[in-house]
Amino acid sequence: MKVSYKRATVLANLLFAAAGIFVLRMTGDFPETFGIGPAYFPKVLSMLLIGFALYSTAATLLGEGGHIALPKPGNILFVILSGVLFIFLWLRFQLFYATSFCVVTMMLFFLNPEKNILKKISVALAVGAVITLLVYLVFGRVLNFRF
Amino acid sequence: MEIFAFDFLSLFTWQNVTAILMGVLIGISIGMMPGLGPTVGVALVLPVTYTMGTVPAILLLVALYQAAEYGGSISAITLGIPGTASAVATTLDGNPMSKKGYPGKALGYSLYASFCGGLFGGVLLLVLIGPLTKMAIRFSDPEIFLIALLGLVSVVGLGSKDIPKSIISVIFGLLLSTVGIDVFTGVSRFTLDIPSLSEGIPFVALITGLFAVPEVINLATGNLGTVYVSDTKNLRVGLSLREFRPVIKTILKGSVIGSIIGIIPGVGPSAATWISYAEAKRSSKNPEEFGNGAPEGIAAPESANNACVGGALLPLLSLGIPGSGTIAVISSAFIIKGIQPGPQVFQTQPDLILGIIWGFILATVVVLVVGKYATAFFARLLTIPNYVLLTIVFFAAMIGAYGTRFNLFDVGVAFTIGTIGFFLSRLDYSFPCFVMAFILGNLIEVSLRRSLMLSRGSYTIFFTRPYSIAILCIIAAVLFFTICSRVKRVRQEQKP
Repeated sequence: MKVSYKRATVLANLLFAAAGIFVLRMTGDFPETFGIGPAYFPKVLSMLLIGFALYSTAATLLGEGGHIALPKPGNILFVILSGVLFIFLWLRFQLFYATSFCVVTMMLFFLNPEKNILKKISVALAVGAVITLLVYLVFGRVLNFRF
Repeated sequence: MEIFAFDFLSLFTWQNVTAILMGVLIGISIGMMPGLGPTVGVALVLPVTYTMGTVPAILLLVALYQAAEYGGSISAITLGIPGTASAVATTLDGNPMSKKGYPGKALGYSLYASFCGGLFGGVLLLVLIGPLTKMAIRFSDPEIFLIALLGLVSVVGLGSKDIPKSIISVIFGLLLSTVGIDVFTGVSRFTLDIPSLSEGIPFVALITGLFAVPEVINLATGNLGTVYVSDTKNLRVGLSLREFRPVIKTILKGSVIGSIIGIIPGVGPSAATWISYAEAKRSSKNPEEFGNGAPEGIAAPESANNACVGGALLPLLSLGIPGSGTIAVISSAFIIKGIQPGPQVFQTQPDLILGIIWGFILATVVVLVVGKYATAFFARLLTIPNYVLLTIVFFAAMIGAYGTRFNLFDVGVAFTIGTIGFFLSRLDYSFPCFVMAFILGNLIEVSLRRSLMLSRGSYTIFFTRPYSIAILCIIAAVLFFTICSRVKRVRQEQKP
């Protein structure tokens, strides 16, 4: 998949500028103190962020274009969704090792380019179990992590 | 000589020696895996240090950093695929020498150059730590603010492709560092009523997410079934004195270049390797041999990247300013142990700092021994397929983010920042600039506000003190150098 460099940069810069405006507005709610207060530093930074984001946008629009390559967008989406699922399941059920085993096995299964399904399943289950077991032994037992 | 006023027996405890050995073994393994680098390695191993003592914890991390710089050359030489960014220059001559049937010799040049460079960086650290600390102790808030500013100017000026985007990265990093309770007034800033944000954005989660998650996604976009296979028959690392003698001068030059560049915040070992390589080629009697397996072409970058590690530790241990992302993660290990790195630590706990420096030198020796006898074994580890590697890194990153505070919120932060970071890195926004700014943000704000309170709001406090003027001159020199190099590059691009 190819994405326009100009469009993506303009979008990112506008998001940075929006973050700057958000911060600038929030600093207005900070209590007034004599001299250099809690709003001083973030206020200066937010104004600089808005300024440079607009400058970078203008420079990008005037400069040369091109595309950025995002190969295998399905895999990118899969990794991101796996992360979201991992955090959601862990948060929802509070079962770290079970969640880990499920998500790791799922990732190993879907990302393995092997064609033989049976082999894929057995490799995913075996490697998933070994990784989870190692985490249990190293972090759970030796280092006393409270998952 | 206060550097020798150290109880060396305290260094050779089983905890310290085990930490160094583990650091070296993990460092070489991570360094040679294409895609993973020392920063990811240090971030992933950080949770392991929580239950360790301060000295072994830091030694584990610095040994890992040092070993990863050598490890990067193993895959660069045997496969032609650099394990780390700073091993790219090594590929140019290391792989051709390997293809000629001498992988063991190529690895020998790399190993001995890495050892000499690492040793040079360590000795320089040992020699300069005392004088620099004595100078730094006289610094007050205006000087601290300007030194931190120098770090940001260096990282933007010397290490970025797109300056406006690097500046945006710096400002955004500084802005994120203001999240949490204001230390002067106790006012809660940008916490959005989330209790986990009252202490600010968790640093370890941010670093782990920013460096590990984009690597995981990058690996997922590549060939997932890739298994790197190399000929492990001729990998016995060996070099005679007759073969080593011609590269001694190159190694010395590379070590000096690497150490100096390491000291400058934000530049990093990659730049050091290319400058060292270019200098070796320029001063060589046979420059035409470069690119075809010249021993100097391996020795120059490898001595530079290892010397850089010692150099990069100097600003952290003497001034409290981490000069790179990897050093920043190491500095977080200090903070977790309740120690704020800086000149005060050397004054109050000299044994701690000297223990770390001597341990770092010991780690360099261990890299030499392990590298000599176990490189062939490490090369076999490259047979892990990418889809397994990315799953392990993903999982380790999540545990690393969780481990500091045992808070699931931190895992969410790491994952979100890492995912956003992946897309922003594709658009040339700078990670090193962002990380440096985030690390230095608190120091910059506190020293700036204190300075302005002292001067009752007058900015002249930064221009009227001798040390401040000297630091301002250095900042001006860096800006001048940056502008000159940009103008030169634009002129070169405009030439037909």
